[in-house]
Order: sequence, then structure tokens, then C-alpha cells
Amino acid sequence: MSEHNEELCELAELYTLGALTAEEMQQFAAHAAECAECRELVEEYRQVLDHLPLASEPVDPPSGMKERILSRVLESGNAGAPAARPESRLLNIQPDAERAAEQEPARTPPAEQGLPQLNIPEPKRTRFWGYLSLGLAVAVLLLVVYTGQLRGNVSELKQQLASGTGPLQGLKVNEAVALSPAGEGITAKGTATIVADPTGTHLVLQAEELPELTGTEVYQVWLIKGDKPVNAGTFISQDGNGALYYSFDPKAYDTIAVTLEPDGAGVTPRGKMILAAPIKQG
Amino acid sequence: MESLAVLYFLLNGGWQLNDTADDKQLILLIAQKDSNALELLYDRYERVIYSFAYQIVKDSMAAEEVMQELFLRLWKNAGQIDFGKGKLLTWMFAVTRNLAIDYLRKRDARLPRQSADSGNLEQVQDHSALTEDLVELQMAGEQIREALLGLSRDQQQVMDMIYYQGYTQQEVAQLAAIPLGTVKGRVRLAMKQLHKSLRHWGRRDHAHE
Repeated sequence: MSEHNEELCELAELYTLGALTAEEMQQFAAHAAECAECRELVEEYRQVLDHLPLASEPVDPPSGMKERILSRVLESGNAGAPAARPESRLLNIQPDAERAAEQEPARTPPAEQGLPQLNIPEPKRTRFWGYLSLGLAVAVLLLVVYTGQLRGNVSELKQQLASGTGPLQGLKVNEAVALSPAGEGITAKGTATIVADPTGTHLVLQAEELPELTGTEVYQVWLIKGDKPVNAGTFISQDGNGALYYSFDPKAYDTIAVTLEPDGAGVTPRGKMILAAPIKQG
Repeated sequence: MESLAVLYFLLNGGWQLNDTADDKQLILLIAQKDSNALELLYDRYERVIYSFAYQIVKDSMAAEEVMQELFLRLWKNAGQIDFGKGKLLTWMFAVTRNLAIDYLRKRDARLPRQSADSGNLEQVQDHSALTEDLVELQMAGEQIREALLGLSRDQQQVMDMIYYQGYTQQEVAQLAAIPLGTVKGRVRLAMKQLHKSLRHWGRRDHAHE
């Protein structure tokens, strides 16, 4: 292919936008592999596209979206199975996308990427092993580098952890209560600790021997004054154990309770009470 | 006392993460299934990403599902790649666009075409570097909105169909009843103009030459 091909060079914009047919995408990629000018253009246009999402008109997210999304995401991890997606009413994209990714690990460059290297013509059979061992060598090298980075990360995290313990000295435990089972046949138990420091008042709750959760269920913690429960967050148990940390404005609550909820979106208790204890925090 | 150690650990988790943690730190923690870090990242980008998804799907429920899918993928895959500075947001935008356009295609029963799915973490571009400074991002956003508004109506139309709705040039020609060459010409001019007006925002590093 010639170095400079007017007709193909004119596709740089559409290629970067992914607005060509699959065949044209391939043709351009093959051309760009040999045309420095086009590679540079594509690079420049990508910078533009990277920034284009920022041009969107700002819109307020619907209320409660954060809680819905975070609780679904977190529970997907807990279920072990890769993202059991509970209520996808409109978007059935996950299966397709994943299937495609699995079946065709290296395919036509999708819209967002596709620099020439993805379209190197298929190596001839005889060269196969050569490419393979080269690939393996590169992989080993990358692994070594990656391991090194991970080590760096670990020591960085350790440092952070060490430095983080500093300000904790002013911590004062205000109250610690044992949580008792709130009904017949429940063997769960736990502790609620309320601590104060210069940044505020914090509740730390730990529980064990909790009944196992199924589906979208979560445990939810409530601080109660009279008959008014205030949501103190949800947690998911693992092997019957669970914990929760919550910061709140010091206020007089008289009871702390843990309920088993059908999902993490409730603002008032709907499920069964599992644990409860009186508190006198004030 | 054991519970005291747990308590310290939990409190640490709560304090050590603050707004100054950069994306890379957050991703490292998310890879270890740190839900605080996920929440912090969510808070940081909720609005820009939601606005972008909404811009494409024009429906709040669908935009929310796009967000949910994006964060699911992030939660599942955070450990698989080293997101350099500024790359995370680029990746999130790319995945958001693909999910949103896939939604449009499904809804309108459009041709499946090549799935524009670049949710593959390994394929984050080397060069991309959006700033992590939220104020700067906002300023960049205004600049780009202005640049888009500076395009002619015809150019805006083709850019909208291609960028926000994911049509190919052939589809645009057909739907808008304009010759293929005209579509191409408008896109070229539009991209050149955008590039010109945004030049100082793109941190250009010519990795290839």
C-alpha cells in the first residue's frame, strides 16, 4: 500500500469516531500502520473525543440513585457469581457484550480504539511459534514489571495505614453495648460501640452468627429515638459475620437495631428485626 | 482487645480516604473490594458520567442503568489493570458511551453492526490524560460545549448522529438523506474545528513519533 493514499487519509476523522463499516475500519487501520501522518491525526482526534463527554449538559441524577447503584454493585460482588444483575429492565447489554468479548478476544478495533497494532495481518503459519514465544517473553516481562509495581503499591499502602493511625489518639469510647437477638430462634449476637473524637461521633457495629442472606437481601442498621428509626446504613454478612461503621451527629437515640431487609434501598424498616439493644448515647 | 483492633481498622478506612486520594489510589483500594473507595469514586464522577449517559439516552432510567453497569464492571475488574493518571475517567467515558449507544441500538432495533464495546480494560489508551481536577474538568467542559456550539447546524447534526447516537457515515447519509461525500466533508470540518479550538486542552504527547 502506498504511503500516502488520499482517499484513505480522508477517513481519519470517521475512523477515530468509529463511524465506518467494519471493512473500512480495517482498511484504514492497515493504511495507518504505514502512514505516519494518519497516525498523528488519529492521535489528535482522540484527544478531542476524550474530552467530548465533558460537553454534556449537566443533569441532576435522580434521587436515591447512588444508594441503588452502590447496593447492587456491592451485592453483586458478595454473591460471588459474576454480577448477577437483578433488575435490568431496559438494558440487556451485559450478556451480549461479554459474550462478544469472550468469543473474540482480538477482533476488529471497536470504535474507541484501534490503533494500527490491532490490525497486524495474521501471521503466517510458519511464523506462529516465533510470534508465540515472543508474545510469551513479553508477557513474562510485563508480569515482572507488574509485580514490581504491586510491591510498590503494597508498601505505599502500608505507609498510608501507618500514618493513618496517628490522629486516632483522641479517641474516646462513649458506650459499648451488647446486641441481643430480637426474636425467637435467632442466635445472632453482636456489639455496638459508640466513639467520639474531634471529627464527630461514630458507631461501630459488629455482628456474628447472622442468618445467611439470599438474593438482594442486606442487613440494615437503625438508630431509633422513640418510634423514629434513622437509617445508619446497610451491610452484607460473610460466613455469618458482618460489620458497619457510621458517623452521625450526636443526638439522643434510645435504641439500636439491625433488621434483615429485602434490599438496600429502604428508608424505613420493612424486614424482620434480628438484633437490638438499648443505648443511652447523648 | 480484638474488637478494638477491628475498630481502629474500620476508623482508619473511614478517615484515610478523603478527597485528595487520586483515582489511582482509589482503584487500588477498589480492587481490594474497599466499598468506601468505591463510594468516593462514585461521588467524584457521578454527575459528569450521569450527564453524559443522559445526553445519549435521554431517559433517566436508562441512564441510571448505564451507570449501574459501568460501576459493576469497575467493581469486578478494578484489579486487572493499572490505571495511570487521568486514564480512569477516559475509560469510564468510553464504556459509558458504548453502553448507552448499545441501549439505543437495542431500543430502536438498529443494526447490530460491530459492537462498539471497548469495556475491555486492557485497551485503555496510553495517551489519554483527562485532568483529575474537578474544577479544571468543569472548565474544559464549558470550553468544549462552546466549541460544539460554534459548529454549523449541519456539522452539529452529523456529529450528533455519529458521536452521540453511534451511526456510521452510511447510516447518517441514509437517514438524513444527504450524499455520503457530504457527510464525510462535514465530519472532517467539524473535527478539525473542534481540534483547533481545544488544542490547549489536549495534553499532547506524541507517543508514536
